Amino acid sequence: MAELRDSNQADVSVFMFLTTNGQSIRPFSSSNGVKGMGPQPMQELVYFNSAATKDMLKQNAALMAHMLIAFINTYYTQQREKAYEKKTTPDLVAELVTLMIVPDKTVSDLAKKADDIFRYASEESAAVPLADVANNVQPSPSTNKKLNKLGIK
Amino acid sequence: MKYAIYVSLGFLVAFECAHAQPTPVAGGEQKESLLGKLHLEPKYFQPTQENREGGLGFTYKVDETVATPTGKVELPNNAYRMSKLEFKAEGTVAFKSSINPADFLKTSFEYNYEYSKAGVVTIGAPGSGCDPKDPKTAEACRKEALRSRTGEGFRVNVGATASFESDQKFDKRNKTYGAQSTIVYRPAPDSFANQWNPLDWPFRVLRRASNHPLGFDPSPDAFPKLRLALERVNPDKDTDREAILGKKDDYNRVNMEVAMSSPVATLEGKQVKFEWSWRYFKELSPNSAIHAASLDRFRYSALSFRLDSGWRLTYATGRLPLNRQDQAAWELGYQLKFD
Repeated sequence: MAELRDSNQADVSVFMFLTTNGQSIRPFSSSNGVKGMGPQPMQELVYFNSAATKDMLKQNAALMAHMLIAFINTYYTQQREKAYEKKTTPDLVAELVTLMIVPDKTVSDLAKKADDIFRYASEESAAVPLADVANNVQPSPSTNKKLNKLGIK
Repeated sequence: MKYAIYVSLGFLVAFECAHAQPTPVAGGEQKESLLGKLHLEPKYFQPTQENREGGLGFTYKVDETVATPTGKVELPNNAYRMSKLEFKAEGTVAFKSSINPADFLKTSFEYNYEYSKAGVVTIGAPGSGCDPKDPKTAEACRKEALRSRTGEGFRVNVGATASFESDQKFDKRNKTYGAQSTIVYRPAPDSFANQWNPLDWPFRVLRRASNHPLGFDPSPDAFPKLRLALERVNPDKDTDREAILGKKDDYNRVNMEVAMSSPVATLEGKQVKFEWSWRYFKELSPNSAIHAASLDRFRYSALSFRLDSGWRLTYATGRLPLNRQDQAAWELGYQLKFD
């Protein structure tokens, strides 16, 4: 069972998100017979309601996934790895949800996915300028209208 | 109306279908087949009354986005909106159909618009002792987050739906068309909605009594989630209704689901959580004969307690459309993982 590593900021970010949002009371890593959060399956996190319909579970997981992305963007990084530079937030939410609705996927699996998506400060992997991400953001029609009024097309 | 009590003692096994191995493709993206996204959970049901024998069965669920015709629009303040076409299927099958406590299979296509807004809890303020990048300060971060007035999340999903419903033997079948809306709200920890959510009060007391780290503080997950649907039902084959009415007639039906979950307590340092879902189906303006036969409304409720890395105790009661007898089922088991 994969433990979380404090040298990996992806592991730290997912652990901090789940702890501060009341999803688990497990410690960061296993010690003295107490299991760490890494091997914990999704079905044991509080948001995972196995009594609900799949529709309800998916919507709840999608909200948690969106909150995780916002949490990482706020406290850790807004940069993405190259494979994800053109993905929108809904794309990332959809990817995380496919993992977060599987009962036996673990917190380590979720941290691994976060690591795949985001380029954390300590990493030297593919750099993606933030402007590249911004370039792929589609402004809403109302924003476009306002920009047009300002003469920006 | 007879009530049957079911006890399912044994192992509940959850696994992904063997085809779930993703196929690597260029650019680091991974694709899965629809079959690979099928989730199966084998079950064993053991009736305890009427000397009836138990039997094996399983639940299945699949949910896949087929297309996103109008694109995805990112909005300010961690929000976005999009529309999408989805394929969904879920149900419970017992190899001995008479012991199936939730004999209702549903397969549907939905075209949905969704809006999502995500907040972030405030942590890492000077003097709080919390450093978001240092897991050793997690306890200080957790306590600071409990006082956060930010960190609420909101998601709404609205759309049109067309589905096919049946019992597992396909003896009863419905086609339905209509609209649905799912609303998920997760209040900020120190918000009024979270602090005064009455559904969480019993659990707050239990958490305090069992020295759960949350103590008497509320859990945002306990805020109820709601799904509403208004459907036109076309009974393709329903002998019970036909016998009463002498014909097949279309009718309108309202469906509702309310769900919540919350940590309950700690047991030997491990968290116990509570999960609940209540589903209600009501035919609008039913024929008096249908009402008299109790075919105009169906209620189904399931709740479970789950111990971290331990047992799960589930109780389900009521009936779903096409299931003609109220049933209650207890399930006790462990979740095992097969890789």
